[in-house]
Amino acid sequence: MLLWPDGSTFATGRSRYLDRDPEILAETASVHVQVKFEGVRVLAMLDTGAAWSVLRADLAAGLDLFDRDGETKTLSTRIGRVQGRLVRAMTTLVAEDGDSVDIDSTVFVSREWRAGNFIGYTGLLERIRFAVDPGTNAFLFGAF
Amino acid sequence: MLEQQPGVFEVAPPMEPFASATRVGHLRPLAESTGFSDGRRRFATPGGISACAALPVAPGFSDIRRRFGAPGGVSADATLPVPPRIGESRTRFATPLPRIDWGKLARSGDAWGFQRVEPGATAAPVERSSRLESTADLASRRPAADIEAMLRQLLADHRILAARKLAVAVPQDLASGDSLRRLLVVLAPPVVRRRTPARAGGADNIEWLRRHGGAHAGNWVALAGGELLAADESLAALRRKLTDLAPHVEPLLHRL
Repeated sequence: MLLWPDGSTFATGRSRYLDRDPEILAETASVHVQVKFEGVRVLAMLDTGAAWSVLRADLAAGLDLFDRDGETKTLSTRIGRVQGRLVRAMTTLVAEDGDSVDIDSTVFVSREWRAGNFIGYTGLLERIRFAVDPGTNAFLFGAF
Repeated sequence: MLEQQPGVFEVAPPMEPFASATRVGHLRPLAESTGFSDGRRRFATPGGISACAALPVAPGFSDIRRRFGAPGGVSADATLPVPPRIGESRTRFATPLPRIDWGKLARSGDAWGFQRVEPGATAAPVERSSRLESTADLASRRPAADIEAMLRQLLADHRILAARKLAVAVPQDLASGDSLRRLLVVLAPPVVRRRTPARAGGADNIEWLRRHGGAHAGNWVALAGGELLAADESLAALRRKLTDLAPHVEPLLHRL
C-alpha cells in the first residue's frame, strides 16, 4: 500500500476521506475519515492536535459508552470546557483497500458534546502510522 | 535556612514553573536535561545566576525541590511546599519565593547537596540524587492513594504522557483498588487488536455526502453503496429504521 524506502510496510489500509463536513460551516478543509466505534461506522475528523478522541453525545449514548467504567475528565475545547469521561472503546480504522485495523483505545465521551466525532492523538493515533493524499482524498494508515 | 523574600523571582505553576518564568524574562533555559525522568532542567537568569530545577514527575507531592546556584557560590536544593491543588499553587507560587541565605547554607554542608559554581560559570547538571525520586521509585514507594492523586492531577493538567509514564510503573499489587485500576485502564496505551481485510465500498458514500449532504442538514443519514438508506433527526430512531431495513452492506452513519 505504502512503503518505507527500505521496502518495509508503512501503511496497510487505504480509504477515501471527506474533506469538508457539511455539518461544520467552515471554509477550511478538514479530514474526516471512516471509522467504526464499537462496530458502528461513522466519520470522524482527524485531529492530531486533540488530546483525546471524542464522540458525539448521541453516538456515545447509542453505544452505551456512558454506562462504561471510566475516569471523569474536563476537556478544554473550542466551544469551552466540557465535562465528561474517558472510557475504553474499540475503534476501527476502516479500509476500502488493504486491511482495517481494530484498536483498543481510550476515548472521551460527554453528554454535552454535540460538535462531531474526532480521532485524536493520545489513546488512538499514537499507535498508527498515517498519511493523507489530498490529490485523491486518500487516507493511508497502518498499525505498528 | 531559607528567607522568604517576595519579588526576587517570579515563579509559575509548579508543574511548568520555568516555562512561565521564561515568558516573563527572569529565567532562560540553558539546555533541556536528557536522561532525567523527573523533569529536571537547567536555567540561567540574565544576571548570570544559574539554577537547576528538579521537579518531581507529578504534582500532589508534599514538596517540590529546586537546586539553585550562584556564581562563585553554592547551589542548594530548596524544598518548597506545594499545595495539593494546582489552582491554589498558582497563586501561592506567584508571590513570595525563598531567597537562599548562602552563608547559612555554606555551613550546612552536604546535607543540602552543595555544588560549587565558579564565577561566570553555570552549574553542572545535577546528577541523579537519592533525594530525587524516579518514576519507578515513586510508583513503588508511594501508597496507592498518593499515586492515584498524582495521576488525577496530571490528567487534569493534560500532562498525559507523564501520567502514562507513572501509570505504567505502578506495580500490579498496588492497582487492586477499583478507582486506581480504572485510571490505569484509561491511561493504558492503545492496543492494536487485529487487522481485517477491507470490504469494498465506502468511497461512494463519501461522494454522496459531498454531493447531497447539504440537503439533509440537521439529520443523521445512513448510506450504503453510495445511496441514502434512511435519515432521521435522531440517531436512535435511525438505527431502529436500519434494524428494520436490515441492509446487506454495513452502512455509514453521519450527522449532517
